[in-house]
Amino acid sequence: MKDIFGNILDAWQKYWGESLFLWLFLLCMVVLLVFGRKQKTALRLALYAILAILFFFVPYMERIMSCFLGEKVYWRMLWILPTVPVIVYAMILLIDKSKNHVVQFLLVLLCSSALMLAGKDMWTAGNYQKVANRQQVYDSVAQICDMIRADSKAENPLVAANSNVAAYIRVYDPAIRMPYGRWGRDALNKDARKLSKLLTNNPAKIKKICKRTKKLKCDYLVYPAEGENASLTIPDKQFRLIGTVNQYQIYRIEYEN
Amino acid sequence: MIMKGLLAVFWLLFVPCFAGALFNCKKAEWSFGENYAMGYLVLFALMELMALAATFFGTPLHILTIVYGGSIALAAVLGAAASIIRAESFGGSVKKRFAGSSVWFWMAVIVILIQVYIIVRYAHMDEDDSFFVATATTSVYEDSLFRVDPYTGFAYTSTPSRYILSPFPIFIAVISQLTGGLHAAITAHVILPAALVPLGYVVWYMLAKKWFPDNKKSRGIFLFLSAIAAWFSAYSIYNSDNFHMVRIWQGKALLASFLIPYLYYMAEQYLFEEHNSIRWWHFLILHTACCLVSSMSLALAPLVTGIFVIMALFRRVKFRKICMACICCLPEVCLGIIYLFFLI
Repeated sequence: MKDIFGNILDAWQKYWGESLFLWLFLLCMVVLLVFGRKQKTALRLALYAILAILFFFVPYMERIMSCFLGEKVYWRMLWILPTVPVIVYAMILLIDKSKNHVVQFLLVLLCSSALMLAGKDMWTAGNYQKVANRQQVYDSVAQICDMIRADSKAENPLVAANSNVAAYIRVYDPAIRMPYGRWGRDALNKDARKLSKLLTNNPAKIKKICKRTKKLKCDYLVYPAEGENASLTIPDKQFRLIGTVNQYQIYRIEYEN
Repeated sequence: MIMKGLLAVFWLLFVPCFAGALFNCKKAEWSFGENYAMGYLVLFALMELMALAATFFGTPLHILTIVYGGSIALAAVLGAAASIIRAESFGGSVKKRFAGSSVWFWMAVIVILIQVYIIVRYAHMDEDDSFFVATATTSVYEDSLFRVDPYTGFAYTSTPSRYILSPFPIFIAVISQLTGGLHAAITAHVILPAALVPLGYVVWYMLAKKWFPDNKKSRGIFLFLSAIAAWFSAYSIYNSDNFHMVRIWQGKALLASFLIPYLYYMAEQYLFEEHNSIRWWHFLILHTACCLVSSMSLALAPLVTGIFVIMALFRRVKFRKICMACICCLPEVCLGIIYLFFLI
């Protein structure tokens, strides 16, 4: 039971973050119940929100919901909570108290300011970045894929890369195959899982990386020469460097026939 | 590229608007927004049924694309015919809609258009795309449905149980094919946000119309403040508005920003409004549409309906309506049983 409550509280805190939005929401709930008490829709909205929160805190809902929501994502249950409609409806109840257009205008500006101060804007939070490719993946991934496809004679080259690159390769070019997905998911076998981990190590264990890559019969290796690995290169003669993209070195592996 | 853009406008704007008109045609008054939202419910519900059948029978993607495209085009043609028959009310309705719109409404529209521009023009990187968008690109490349692992490009060794019943990536793949073979990642990241980000706002405005029926200014303010709130939702990466603004091409974001609010709207109308145009089959279409976007809907959609049913029981709403509301959760119940007992 202690674990369950811990998960529930953790999910609650994650949903609201460090912001004042929770307090704004609770304040607006009070406004709805007080100023909206004669309006059925306001009361219904408040009652729905209260029931949604109650269901969220029921101990075994977390266990039941995890089957459908996924592990460690119980905070998704709070998506049924109408946070913005509650806050905005309450604000309108207050704004409509005045019939003066100027006062209403100022109240709308005040409410907008409250929302801006309580929250955080999407742009400055670093959610968006400019990229040159239309598929909207990292430009380095697009360049790596283009380089491999230009070099490869195979229609479906097998490429090993670290998770930062592996996550987006098949979004950009599904013709490229990989021995594992992001963070080693759906790895083909034990060697693929181990290779996925080796490529995230700092410093890299180059000999082991080369051994696993050749064992998996990979056609290309995208080696992340960054951090402590920045000065390291692959000494194995079967690994031919075909190019670099930012900190990534792209090697074609040549197998003896 | 221009041709692909025009096809995108056709399939993602005109088709849903007119397909939605088919299901709204009995309403005394309707708006493009309501048709647009209803149209997407129809598109999603049809895709869920067809994609499940196609996956089960091992149908290639191109066959599903032809059948689905034909079906939604037919729905749009029928909806357009219904609209033309009601041409008198159409013209009057448009004039009436925009006459007297408040300044706040237009300010909200400007804010929303700026948001859409930013979301379309700039990229948001999310590792979940390595499954969801890669499933779409893989389906297009392999011309198959859930046969090839999007992570590796090799055949699946076991059924992806959580995702096969909610095949929203297949919707992306089909739309990419219908828009002249546009790359599925471009469809997901550039085209779909332009169509889907406004959907959430359409539903919020529908709620505002219901809550403030005689006050256009309040409706405009509601939409304006909602747009501001959504843009300032980056205080946490876990809330529904954040998902709306950054990952709308993922099914779960659509569930959070469009379908759950629509469930609220429809449940309230259906159960608590005496004279309304929502019929039980509208509700059933909505629940079926929810099944497409995410496996989470198998739990969350019935929960939203369930909360309204609880409120309805205390308000002594007609028992028949309460029963029908519960019956409309059958799509989630059936898929939930299949998921829990046959796929896990």
